[in-house]
Amino acid sequence: MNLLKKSLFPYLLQYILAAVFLIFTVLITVALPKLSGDVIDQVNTGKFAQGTIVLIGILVASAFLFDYAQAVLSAWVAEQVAYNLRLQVVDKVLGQTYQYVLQTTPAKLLTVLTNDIVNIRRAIAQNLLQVVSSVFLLLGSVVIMLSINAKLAGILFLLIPLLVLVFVGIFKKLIVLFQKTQLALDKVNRTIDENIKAASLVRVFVAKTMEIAKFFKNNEELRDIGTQIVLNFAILFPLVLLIVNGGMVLIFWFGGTDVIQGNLTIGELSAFYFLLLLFLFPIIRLGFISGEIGRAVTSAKRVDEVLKSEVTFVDGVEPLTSFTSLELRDVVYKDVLKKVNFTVSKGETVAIIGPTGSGKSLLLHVLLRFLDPDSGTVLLNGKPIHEFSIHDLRAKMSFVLQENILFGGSILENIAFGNPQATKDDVIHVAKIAEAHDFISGFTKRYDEVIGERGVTLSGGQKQRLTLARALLIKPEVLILDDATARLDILTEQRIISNIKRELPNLTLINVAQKVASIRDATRIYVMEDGEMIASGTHEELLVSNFSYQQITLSQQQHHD
Amino acid sequence: MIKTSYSLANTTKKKHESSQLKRMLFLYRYFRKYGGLLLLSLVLLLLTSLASIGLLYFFKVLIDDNLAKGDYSGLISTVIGIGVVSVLRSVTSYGRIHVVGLIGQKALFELRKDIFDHLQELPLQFFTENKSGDIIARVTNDVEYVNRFLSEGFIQLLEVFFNLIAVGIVVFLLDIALTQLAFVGVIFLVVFLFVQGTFLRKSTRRSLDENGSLSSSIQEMLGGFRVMKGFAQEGLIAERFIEVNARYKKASLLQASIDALSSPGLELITRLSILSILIVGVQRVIGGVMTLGILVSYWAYIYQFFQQVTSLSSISSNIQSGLAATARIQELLAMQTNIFTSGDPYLPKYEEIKGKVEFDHVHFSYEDGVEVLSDVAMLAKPGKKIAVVGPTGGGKTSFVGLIARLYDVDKGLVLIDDVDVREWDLETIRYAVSYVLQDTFLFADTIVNNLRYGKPDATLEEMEGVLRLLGVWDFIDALPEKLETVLEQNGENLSLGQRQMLSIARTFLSDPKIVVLDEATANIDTRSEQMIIQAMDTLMQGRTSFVIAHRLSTVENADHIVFIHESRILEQGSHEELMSRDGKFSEMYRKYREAG
Repeated sequence: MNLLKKSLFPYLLQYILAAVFLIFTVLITVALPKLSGDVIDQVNTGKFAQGTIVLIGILVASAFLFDYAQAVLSAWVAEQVAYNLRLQVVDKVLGQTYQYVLQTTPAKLLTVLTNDIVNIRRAIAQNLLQVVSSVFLLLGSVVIMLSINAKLAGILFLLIPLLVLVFVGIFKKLIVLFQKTQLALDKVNRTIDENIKAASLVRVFVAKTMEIAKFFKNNEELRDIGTQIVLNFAILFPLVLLIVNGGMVLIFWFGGTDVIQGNLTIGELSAFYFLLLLFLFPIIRLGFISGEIGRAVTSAKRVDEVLKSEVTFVDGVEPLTSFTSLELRDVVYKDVLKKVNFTVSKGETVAIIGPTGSGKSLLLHVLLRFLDPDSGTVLLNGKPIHEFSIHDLRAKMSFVLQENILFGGSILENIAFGNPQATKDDVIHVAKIAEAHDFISGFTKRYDEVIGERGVTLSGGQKQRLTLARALLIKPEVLILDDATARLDILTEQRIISNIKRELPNLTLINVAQKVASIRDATRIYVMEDGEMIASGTHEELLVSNFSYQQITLSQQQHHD
Repeated sequence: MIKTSYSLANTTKKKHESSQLKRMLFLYRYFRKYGGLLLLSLVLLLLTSLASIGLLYFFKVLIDDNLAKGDYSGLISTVIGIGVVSVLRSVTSYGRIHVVGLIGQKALFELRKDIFDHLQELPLQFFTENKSGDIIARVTNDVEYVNRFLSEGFIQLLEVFFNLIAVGIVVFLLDIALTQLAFVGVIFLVVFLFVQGTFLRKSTRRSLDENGSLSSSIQEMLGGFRVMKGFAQEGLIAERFIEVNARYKKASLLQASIDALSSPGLELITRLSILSILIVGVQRVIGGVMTLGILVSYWAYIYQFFQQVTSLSSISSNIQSGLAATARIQELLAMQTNIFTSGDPYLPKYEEIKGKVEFDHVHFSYEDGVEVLSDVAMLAKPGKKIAVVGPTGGGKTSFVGLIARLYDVDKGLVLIDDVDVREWDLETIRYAVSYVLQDTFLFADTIVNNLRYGKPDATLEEMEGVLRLLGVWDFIDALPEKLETVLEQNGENLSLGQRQMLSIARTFLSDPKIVVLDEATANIDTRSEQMIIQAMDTLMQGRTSFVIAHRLSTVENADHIVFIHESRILEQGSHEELMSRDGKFSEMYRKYREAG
């Protein structure tokens, strides 16, 4: 609720104005049946006055203006609030750590940014003001009813507890069903999402029937819950209608008797008939609104959770003018990295090799400060890495991840991602270093070719070369490669490496690779197994001293002889 | 040859929107089979309307006959009548909402099913040309709008329509002159709803499309989070988001401003109509042409009449967004596969499939004029191992994709067992050919269910056998839940290498006749790879295999090597033949050896 207040605050004036306009609209709405009743009574008593009709006309026109003004104003406020909330959440998420995104899950963040904010927007645009209008409508009609006939008004008030009872009873069931719907929807979304991501797999394995069956189950669940909801509504509406009609019967019974006895005019009774609808309508609407507002409050809590999430990342102040060394001391991360030690100094090429799942990628994530270790220290130039400005750090250290992540947009934009101010010549230059220029030149639109959301129109090797070019564009002092050449043939790979060495002679290179050939010339090779560094040394040293390394090398030479 | 575009964004831009009537008819298809129930609900609807009219009739009797004449016993019977009719009306409206609700949920179920099933028929291009966020939005978000269209739009429209006709007849009978006046009001209302509705539908469509872009932009930001952080480009991403966010706000605000006009606009026309009826009516009563009782009851009827019309405002909004969403769904359903199947397909017994693969002067392209494969010809004899080598981007993946008809050739023939793949039964061919794809994908499900993907009836023993052979059994056995371990989305609780091993196991479990490994071991360490290669020698027994890899060992083991370079098969033959030819391949091979 706090979030709602806070985000509404800058637009409070406009929102209050909208509320005032709405109240005017409501007052006119309440007054109209009374005025019309007056006209009929005037005719009945032969004292017809044109003034009343003119008044009605003026009120009708102003009701239109007030109503439209309030609707547009409140929609405007709601859009502003939603727009700001989205910006705030994105801003927050952008400042958060990778760890946070992993833990919160991208799926939840997406829902918060779309669904939840839409719920809040709807509450502001409609529901909150509807509460105001319903209350005024209720109060207004109560005052008028009391002024006409207190006895009849009293009879109507008896209906209120009955209506509340019906609403509470049915909404209790409905709220549970709404929650179930949300969960069923999550499942449906996941199935479709996976089905799209696995489009080729589904076709290759003729898994169509299996996928269809999977979705069928989710879909059935959704239908069954939906049916239950509809059936509850099927009871709710006629029941409410019945209560309202019950009120009508009572009014006509008692009111009719009064008319016959001369205590009430026909005009008053017919005004009462319309007021009955006017009076019960806000009560019914309040019932529905409370559900909507409940949903918005839950959503606001979820948005607030993200906005209030603690940023564990602390930026350093120390400027990083140039890189001299990077060291890991007894670094532990969950149960994946077990007291890992590692060093690299300026100009060195250091390689890490080891079996699948040994923790190599995670180690690089720690070096890049994507993840902070649970214990142990990361030293940059001999000082704890977190003392340095992350901005400087990012400008000096570049990387290529194992997954080839590219963004929507052109090839040019993708390579220039790290420095959007780069000239086209800069981009072509790094593309040449990464041996990507030739295949890019083969595209119809060359560097302006747009790549799809998941970069699917490119082959794995092409994507790897684009990410390499992107990494090189910022002219890094340290380059971290995570199995970045796995999809390249050895010749292309070696050409790229020698291009890099030629263009950036002082570059410090940290290279995780599977191929011994790719790392043989490294200053130092670390052998990693099951989260531990089991050996380090040059290729020649390890060939003599380390059994695992001998095995790896042997496995790659076997077929040559 | 003109290639079909599968981009949904293109259809939108080209304004290929179907007409309103076509959209209605499209939705009607989902109700047709519930004819009986639909009729029942219409009858119930009619009864509800009649009951509403009946109530108004009693109201007239009450004022004109009972009250005006002071008839107390008449009053009592009228009030009882009102009570009875009220109960009847609630019962019929309960029945109607119940029946319509059931039909609606069933229809939505069918609609979602049809969309999802249709997605399974679409070719791969569809998924590469469209953003997944937008596709998902069409199956969920847009169907939800159709839901609202059905539950809070269309049926109510029918109800209003019935009521209007019924009340219209009554007021016409009561007083023709006043009804003519009311009719003018109705014309204004219809014009208003038509004009405003058109703008509303267009603005809703734009807002739905912008909503799709917003979701896609968020998805991209979260998916590329590390890259953004690592290049300190939060600012750039924020800038892009601000732009999309502002565009969505603008579209959404425009839509809201048009939508906001519905209720006040309808109220205005309604009230003015009622007011003019009141003015004319009063004059007629004063002139003695009309009794006050008739005016009062006429007024009550007409009030009821216009109240029905006013409820059109929310109905209209639901109908317009429902129709906008229907157009988006229809666009998706209109996409047709380009993988056509023969009317009389070749359907051999599975055991009889030999696995001979032949390419006969094949040309292939994804987009017009850019050939990915040109004049490709080769023959793979049953049970042989074919190595597909060459620089990345040369067309290797496309080449192997043609075997199981992931794509179709532009020119030339691909034959399996001497039969054109297009003559084959598509399912049989895809059962017979299995792939380990370059991009590993695992489902957020148990390891068992992932392994069973290609063969739903695979036994635990079979799985253990294959996993042991591949040398991954130990790592799975060490997991607390073993084979029942639930994988995270895309198996992210495993390393990439482990994911690749599982996907290899999955492929071999499906018992293919022809197996294609597309850089299947790129991220697996070489010692594990050794084990896998040995395992594969066993697993590949009796299967024709195509292997794309950069490692020399693969090439040396192969019976036949296909060297693809810049869309063409530059050289092919056995290792010895190619080496003795002293061409491009042997040059590359020597360089590899020196390098490795």
